[in-house]
Amino acid sequence: MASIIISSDSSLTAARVADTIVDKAGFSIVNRGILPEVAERYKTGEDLLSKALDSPSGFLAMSPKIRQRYMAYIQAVTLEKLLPDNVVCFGLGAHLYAKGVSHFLKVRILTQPEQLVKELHPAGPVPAHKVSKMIARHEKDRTRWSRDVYGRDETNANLYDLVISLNQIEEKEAVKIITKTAANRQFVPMTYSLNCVKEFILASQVRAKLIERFPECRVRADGENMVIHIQALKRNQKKYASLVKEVAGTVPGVKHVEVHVITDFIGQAVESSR
Amino acid sequence: MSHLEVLLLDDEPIVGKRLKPALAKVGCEVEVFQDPVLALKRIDEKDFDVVVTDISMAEVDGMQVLEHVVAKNNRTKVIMITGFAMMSLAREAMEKGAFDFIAKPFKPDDLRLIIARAAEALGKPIDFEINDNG
Amino acid sequence: MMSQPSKANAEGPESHDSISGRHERARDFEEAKKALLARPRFSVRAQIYLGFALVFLFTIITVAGLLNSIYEVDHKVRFLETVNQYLIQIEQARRFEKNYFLYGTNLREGLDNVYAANQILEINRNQILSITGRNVYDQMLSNLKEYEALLKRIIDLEQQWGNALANTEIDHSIDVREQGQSMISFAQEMAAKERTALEKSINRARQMHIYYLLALMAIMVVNSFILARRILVRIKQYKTFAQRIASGDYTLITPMRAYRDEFTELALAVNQMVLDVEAREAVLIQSHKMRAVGTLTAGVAHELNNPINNIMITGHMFLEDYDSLDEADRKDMMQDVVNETNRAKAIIANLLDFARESGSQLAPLDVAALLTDTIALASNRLKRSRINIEFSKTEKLPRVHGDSQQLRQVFLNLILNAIDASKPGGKISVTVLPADEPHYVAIKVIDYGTGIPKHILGSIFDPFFTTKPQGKGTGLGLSMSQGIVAKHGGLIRVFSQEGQGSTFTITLPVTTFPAEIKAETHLANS
Ligand SMILES: Nc1ncnc2c1ncn2[C@@H]1O[C@H](COP(=O)(O)OP(=O)(O)OP(=O)(O)O)[C@@H](O)[C@H]1O
Ligand SMILES: [Mg+2]
Repeated sequence: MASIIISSDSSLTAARVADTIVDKAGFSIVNRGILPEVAERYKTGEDLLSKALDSPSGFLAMSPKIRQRYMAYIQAVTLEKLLPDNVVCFGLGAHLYAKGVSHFLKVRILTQPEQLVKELHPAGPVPAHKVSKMIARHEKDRTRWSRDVYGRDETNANLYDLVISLNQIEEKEAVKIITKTAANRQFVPMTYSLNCVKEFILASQVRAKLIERFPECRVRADGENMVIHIQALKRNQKKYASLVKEVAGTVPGVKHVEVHVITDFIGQAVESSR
Repeated sequence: MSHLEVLLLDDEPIVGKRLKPALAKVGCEVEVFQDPVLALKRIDEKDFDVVVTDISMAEVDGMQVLEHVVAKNNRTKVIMITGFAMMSLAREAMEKGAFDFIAKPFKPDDLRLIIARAAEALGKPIDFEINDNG
Repeated sequence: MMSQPSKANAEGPESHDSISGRHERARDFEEAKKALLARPRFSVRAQIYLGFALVFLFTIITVAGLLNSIYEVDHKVRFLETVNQYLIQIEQARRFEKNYFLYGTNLREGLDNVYAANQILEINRNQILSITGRNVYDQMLSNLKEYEALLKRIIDLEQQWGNALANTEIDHSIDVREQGQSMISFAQEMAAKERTALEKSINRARQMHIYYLLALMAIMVVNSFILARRILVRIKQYKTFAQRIASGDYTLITPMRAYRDEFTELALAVNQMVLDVEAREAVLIQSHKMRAVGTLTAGVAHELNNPINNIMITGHMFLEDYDSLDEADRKDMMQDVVNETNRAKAIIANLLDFARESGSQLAPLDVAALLTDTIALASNRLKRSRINIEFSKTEKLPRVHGDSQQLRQVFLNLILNAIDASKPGGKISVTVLPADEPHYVAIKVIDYGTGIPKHILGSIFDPFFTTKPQGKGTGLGLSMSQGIVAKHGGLIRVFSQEGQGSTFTITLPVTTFPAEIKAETHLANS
């Protein structure tokens, strides 16, 4: 059966819905519980990973580059956990990077404003006139975060298969809708979609290994073959290409590595910023 | 061991030419078609255990074949193969009742594995070891 | 799978041809510049100054003439005054003389008048001389002298003879009278003559004013007409340049007159602009092409999967069954692999060839072959949208002089537009045939799709005009195509009926109609 990826403006709501689905429909859960494993595998601190996931973007915040790196670690492990089906996943940004897999049901849940405000400001009641401001700010933060790290806006409904507003539909009903949709035949995993996930995992793992040294690297997996783009000065081209090949080769499952070195990155930057 | 009746439809002649012996080796009885119209006619005549069909073909496309087979006998397992794999196409195929969906290019063993699983689901296991549980 | 948002990986290096093409244009530009600057300069400003100078000069002459005639009039008026005073004195003298003869009153006072008259003549000698000349003056003077002498004689006689009457007196009195009379009539005659002369002078001055005004107006009119014509003709010309450039004809402006002026600088600036616009357009065309390539690559990549799959299956079976295969089977399998590899190569070759950055390279082209290539390029899109394409051609068509890359892009734009307009399962016809005009071929792309509503038919060639959703259409396809076709000396026309479909017709001149002629006509009318 399908795997469900939940995204919500309120992480508590996402967690609650996910838990209910696990209870009712016999899914297993992937959530921030995996962060210690990520931290251990990639030798970083769990707090940094949490920070990369949560702290708002901004002038003094963690730079997008660093954030992308931690997210690459999280992504590699999360996708691995998503390989077996019947999984509910939330709170790991999976809705932004697990794309194009037919058996992933992506759900966006919109919380009631009161709920969200309580979560954002647990200390006490918030004056009515500040509520909308607070929510708008939160939304802006998340939009900016998702843009910084993945170049897309997580509030965009196009990212999802299902968008449910808890303003209109009760949480219990929402859970029913989600599990019912997940049981639809079109979300049944198949060889093609499972292969997609496998390729995804491989690419993410290779990228996680490379990203500290090559923050601009782009990795694509095609079966057991990797196609990697990095940026380097012309004189370092050969050296780095073989380095990348070596590093990527250490990831289990990788058979063949093809490295493309982009030497004209200023030109590239000009091109892409046009 | 019982023979698994397989119909293989792809407008690429090499696919049929090479896969027929490959599947025969694991105990399938394969009928190969390049023309979807003829294949549909044959499907009307005979109940196959497994139909393997390409999606993008000239006159009739694989989705129509799938619908046709499912309408006729939903015990038959339909496996879609396509060079134009896309999420939307995959979902459509599954929704219409395909057993599995595989993107080109694939290895003969990939298809054998899927057919073996189909055979198992039909209760007619073939001579191919399913050691992958993905 | 991409693990990051993918960016289009545009290849950086430009191909060699495009650089040389640009060089060529730069050379054309330099040549045009040299030719434009080689001519003698006659600026609009100079013409304006010249006109003013002319008017000024003319005014000075006229004013001098006027001043002169005023002076003359003044002079004559004074002279008349002098003559008047003179006459008054003489008349006074004659009155005394008359009284003397009638009543015997004193004649001496008459003599005083004569003296005064004489003094008047003396004082105004120069004035009188300047008008009447010496003869007349001398005559006047001698007349006066004679009169004076006559008067004196009478006075002397009177003193000698007392008051007694003498016969001689009578003789004298007749002399005196005659002399006085003749003096007066002489002076009056002169005054009358001068008065008519004065009137003439005044009249002349009056006419001079009118003539001056008329002449000034004539000069002004002629000058401003020439000036305005010069400027307006140029402005009109630049208007046609602008229209020409807008329609995609980037012929540089070359000299058209024997002299250069401010408009020459404008011409240079326009040429520079044309060069820049051209370079920018090339970039735009290339990026639009890459967009088209982008929409096609998805299809091509998928199309590639078929031969690759064939190779993969064959390869695996070859390995698996190697021992049990006989020689013929092995050969057959490897032959399949070779064939499929070639097929894969052919699939990408066309696209890669199309994607290559093109310089303007003109060659005689077989349009039918170009169309076949283009249709092959779009075949995946067509297949995916389940649209049949029908291609028909007239055999042995003459070739077209043009840039194969750009023309293919034009054809592709039309075909992609037709695909977008057609329903799945629809049909598109592509035809190449001799055009109605001699020396032209026509390419028709006909679809039976949505058609174009009348109210937007006029704007479809406008840049950025699109009815497609954002991200799907840029609205540059047709405007760019029109530019390219115009550069080839051709035309794009559209006929469409809403709900019935559209026909886009391109006409292009064939090679037997030399491209040079077009260039020459440009030189001639520019
Ligand atoms: N064959 C056609 N049938 C119907 N409408 C057409 C056809 N060709 C062009 N049009 C109309 O003309 C508009 C402009 O076309 P054009 O090719 O310039 O831009 P586009 O196709 O929208 O964008 P792009 O070519 O960059 O993808 C289209 O948006 C469409 O409305
Ligand atoms: Mg277009």
